[in-house]
Amino acid sequence: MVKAKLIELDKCTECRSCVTACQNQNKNEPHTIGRTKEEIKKAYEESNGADELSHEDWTVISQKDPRDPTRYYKKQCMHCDDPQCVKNCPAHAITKYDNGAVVVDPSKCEGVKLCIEACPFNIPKFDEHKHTVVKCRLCFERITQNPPLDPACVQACPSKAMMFGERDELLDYAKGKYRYIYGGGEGWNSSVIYASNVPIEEVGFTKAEIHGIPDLLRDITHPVGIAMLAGGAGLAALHAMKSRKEEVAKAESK
Amino acid sequence: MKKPDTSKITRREFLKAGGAVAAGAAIVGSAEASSHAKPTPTSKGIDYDKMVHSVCNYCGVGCGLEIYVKDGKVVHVQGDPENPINNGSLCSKGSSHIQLINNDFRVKEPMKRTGNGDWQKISWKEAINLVADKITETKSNHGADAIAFMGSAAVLNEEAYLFHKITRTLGLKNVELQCTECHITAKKGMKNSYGTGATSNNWIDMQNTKCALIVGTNLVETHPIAFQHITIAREENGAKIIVIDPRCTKTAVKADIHLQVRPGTDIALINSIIRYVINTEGYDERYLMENTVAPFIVDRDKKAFVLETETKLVEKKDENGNPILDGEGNPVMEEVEVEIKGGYKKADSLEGHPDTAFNILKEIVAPYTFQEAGKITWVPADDIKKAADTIIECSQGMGKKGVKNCVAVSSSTGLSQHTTGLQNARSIGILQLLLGNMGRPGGGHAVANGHNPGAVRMSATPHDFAVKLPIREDGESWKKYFGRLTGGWTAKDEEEPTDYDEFVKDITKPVGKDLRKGKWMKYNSCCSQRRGILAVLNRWCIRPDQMVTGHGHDVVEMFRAMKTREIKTLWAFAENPAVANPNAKDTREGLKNLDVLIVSDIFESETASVERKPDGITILLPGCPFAEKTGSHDNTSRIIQWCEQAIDPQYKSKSDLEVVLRVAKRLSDNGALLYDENVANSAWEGAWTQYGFDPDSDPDRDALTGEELDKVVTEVYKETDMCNRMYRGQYDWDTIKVLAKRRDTTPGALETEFSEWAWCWPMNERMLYPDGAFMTPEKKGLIYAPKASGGPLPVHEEPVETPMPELTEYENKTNVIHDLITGTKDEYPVVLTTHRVLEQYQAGQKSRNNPWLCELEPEPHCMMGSTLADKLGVNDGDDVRVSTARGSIVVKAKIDGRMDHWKDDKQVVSISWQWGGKGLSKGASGNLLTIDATAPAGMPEYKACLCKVEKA
Repeated sequence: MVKAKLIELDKCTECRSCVTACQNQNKNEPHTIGRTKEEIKKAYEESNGADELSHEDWTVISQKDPRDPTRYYKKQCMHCDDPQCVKNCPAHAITKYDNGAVVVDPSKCEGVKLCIEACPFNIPKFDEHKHTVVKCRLCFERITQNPPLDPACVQACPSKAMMFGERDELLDYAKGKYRYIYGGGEGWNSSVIYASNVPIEEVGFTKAEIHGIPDLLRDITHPVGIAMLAGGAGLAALHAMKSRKEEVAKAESK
Repeated sequence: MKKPDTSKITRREFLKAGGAVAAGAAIVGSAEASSHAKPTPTSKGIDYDKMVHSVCNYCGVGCGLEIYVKDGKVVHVQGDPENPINNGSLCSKGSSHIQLINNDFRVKEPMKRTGNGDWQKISWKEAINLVADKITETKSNHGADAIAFMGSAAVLNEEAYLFHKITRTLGLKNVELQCTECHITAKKGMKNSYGTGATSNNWIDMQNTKCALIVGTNLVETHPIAFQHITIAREENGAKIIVIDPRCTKTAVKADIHLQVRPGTDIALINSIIRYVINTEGYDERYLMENTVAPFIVDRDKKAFVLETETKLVEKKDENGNPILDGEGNPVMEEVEVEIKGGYKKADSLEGHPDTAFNILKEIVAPYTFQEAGKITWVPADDIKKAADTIIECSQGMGKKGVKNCVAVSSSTGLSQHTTGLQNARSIGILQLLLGNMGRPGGGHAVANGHNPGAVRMSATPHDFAVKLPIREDGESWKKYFGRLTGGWTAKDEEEPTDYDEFVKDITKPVGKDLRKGKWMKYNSCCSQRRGILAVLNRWCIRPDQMVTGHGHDVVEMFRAMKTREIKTLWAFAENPAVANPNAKDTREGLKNLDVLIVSDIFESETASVERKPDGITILLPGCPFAEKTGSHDNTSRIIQWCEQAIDPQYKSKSDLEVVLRVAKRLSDNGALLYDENVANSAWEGAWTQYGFDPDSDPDRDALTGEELDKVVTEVYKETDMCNRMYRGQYDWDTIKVLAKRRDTTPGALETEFSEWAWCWPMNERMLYPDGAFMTPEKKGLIYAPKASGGPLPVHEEPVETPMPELTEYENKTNVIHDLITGTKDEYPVVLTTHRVLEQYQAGQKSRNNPWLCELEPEPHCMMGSTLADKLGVNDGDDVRVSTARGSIVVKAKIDGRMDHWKDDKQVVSISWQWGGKGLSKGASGNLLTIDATAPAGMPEYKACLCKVEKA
């Protein structure tokens, strides 16, 4: 059964504990383990704060308007049913699992970064140090344990504004309480679902815009099914172009 | 699996129906997903060889932790999902524990320096000896009053207990700690309303409330997990949230009503609500008649309750007190009216006599119309009325669980950190009593402490001898002192002895390991102070004539006394006064002047590295986080939980417990500690045997850890079961169980009690004052409080630095500190208050060395409204200079809409005060600006003064 993470936006208090819970689960930068003072200081100074998604912060609380303290939402990967990142990755480094999780395999990522352009929500970021794209993994290692654990942010949330479980049941629950649901089928299907009694755009969320792919590819890659073959060829070509571009860039920067 | 009925169900119901249980990894999904979807493999958890349960190192919620250890190193920390207080949740501070534990910035070994020279690493042996020898030297040359100890609420209960055992056996009077700067006024206000200053209900019980009234606290950021329970109340009871706070905080954003109040005007606001409750008869009349002093008749001149009298035949006496005899040598008898102790004169109804407490309250609050309150508080009168209506409505009728609807109050430093803090809490107390919200589930008054209140309850303070026993006054006889302590006999029929001295002879005679064999067991009733003092004197091996008498300096006076060199030596025990004290410049000058400054901390704090006089000595002792030691921890809700040790103290750090024990031994060897020579050969002699600790072992070779530490700590825990009158019962002497270790998650009838989880004082009562069982001398809720400092009823007083000096009728009369540096509104037209952020913890020495936390809140800021910013030509993130009569700092402006309520010449700004010059994240210290005007209880007026703001 497909799982989902339901985020009840009305319960979120903007406390940002989910940001740290995610960093703690994944031991993201800037970290202290096994480091000297100087190394900790350097890592901290190189870190870029926690207002925007980055290679260190796979979730952030995003405010719609910096002068309006009432409108914000937890920004993170949607774990889409039809992930643009998966189908635009020429290295097949991203997998959509049947529990819904969309997970990047760092060992396969080649740094092409088409996924970054393809993502309709601007989620994946590139980690220069580890040379891989990173984003929320839906705490894959936690949710697939036996017995399963909740994702770290879901467990840590001080207000218990999130739940993880069977998508259908969570959707039923959400529809019984909230007027606006996103990710639950009306306009988008994903394993991250937002629920609110305030229209979703009002908290600063931008609905999916397929972008970043040339028109040619867009026609080829959607709908999925048969298109994979043709798309594969087109993607491979694009991949070749990109790799060449990067080689040139590398050479020129020396 | 049964599908839950999801029409408007709550989260709790959904989870109960199994809605979030993960099924097996079958391949099902939408058509689109299936072409991508891969079978989901099963994963292993993290690799660890040991997992222990502990309690968070930070605020007073007391969240449970799971600490995972592999090969002697902590590899992961997360919330404990079984702990009913947090249910696995952790705020950012809790989630970042691994950066508190594994952090190269930690102080790794003892160090010393002279003046402002470099730190020299020293051995533990040298450090312990130096600390003890310097204290001894100061005592010999200048007396015990030249020494001060400060701290701590950031250590475990047993450590605080032993630290304060040293203070009184050293004969110290000058002992302070966080609580004077934190909650002391609120606690005294509550004591004068309900009988104790303790949180009456608990965080989990907030799930039962109909209205969370959050006053002067920003729960979302200071006690985030408390919000979980309020969220449940909202969902299940339709509970309302009302916030009273000068800033539009993250808590205020979730509120139904936010009263954005001028700092220091809470009494005017609450009194206007009280007036409205009385005038609209929104009060619980039966509750007031049965459980409070509302119908009691008051002697207005004496400000005391009138007692019933009875006619008694007594011997007539002459002016020398000798009986007058008649012609036959028999004493002449006369009839006199004698007051019946406890026989309070009452009217038949609340207004049945002109001098009922209720009527006097009505008179006092009469001037506080909503308009008058609006003028003083800068809150629109209509908004106050709306809040009053909601509060009354939410106190009426019955809730779903068959309990009365109640308002649950939480308050914190916004309410207490004022010269009028005690009366601020009184106004809340009166409101809650009027509405019948005390002693009921979902009601009550919670003090949101920011630390381990258990450590405070173990401590000596300027006014407590130790473990919540009052200080004995100068010249007060032992008989008088013991006589005024509470706590009667166990056997109700027995009469009290008339000769206390006879009874308490041989007070220090050794009793052996079974502390139930002591003389104090005769006073084994609940919370008996008599049992406490007898046990304390015995365990500390000091006689009544060796007790420290008299009150020490409160915090502001204490640091002034360092400036004048009256106090020459200070041990700051997990305390950072250089950042935390008001008018911090004064404190820093005091610290500079000390001959000897001893600091115990996990990171090098601003206090440890403060500028020193050339021959001043500073000794820095490395402490360790809770994960590296063991012991009990008390939370806001009086729940005592146990911290299991995860790993040994890292680097060369030691638990504060071990440090304190070793220093005590050296002090004892130096002859600096008091003890009963008739019974022992040295101070603490019995303690070493009792605790099972060898204080002469080599501190550099041997660390007190593991099983040995656990044994010592358990012995101390047992000792405090006897000595700390509130903790009686925390140890089960029959089954030899440490009840704080219990992990039974049976929820109870209301699904919120969890009475078998850990242990709760007093006597495992999770809710205080049931059925009106108030612990005041009158045994009633005090609408009118005869003994409250500042008066029996609250009246508004302006802060010492007021933006409304024209309100002469409200001039501040409560401040007790002279020679203040103050400014007026002409030069300083903006009201200044202070605040905390979630990510930084108190004075910041722990959290500002933590990269994940610093990333979220990297620097201090001044929150201001858009109109002020526009006037100054300042944008968000620009530098601004904020100045008061006491100091001036430059910080970044934060213009985020939260202070936009303030307009024109009614401006309030707020500084995040938690910064200083040390740590990964550095910044200017907000307390350089705050005023050290002080309440009689010792609390400084941090939260309200005047400033000016300029573009920097």
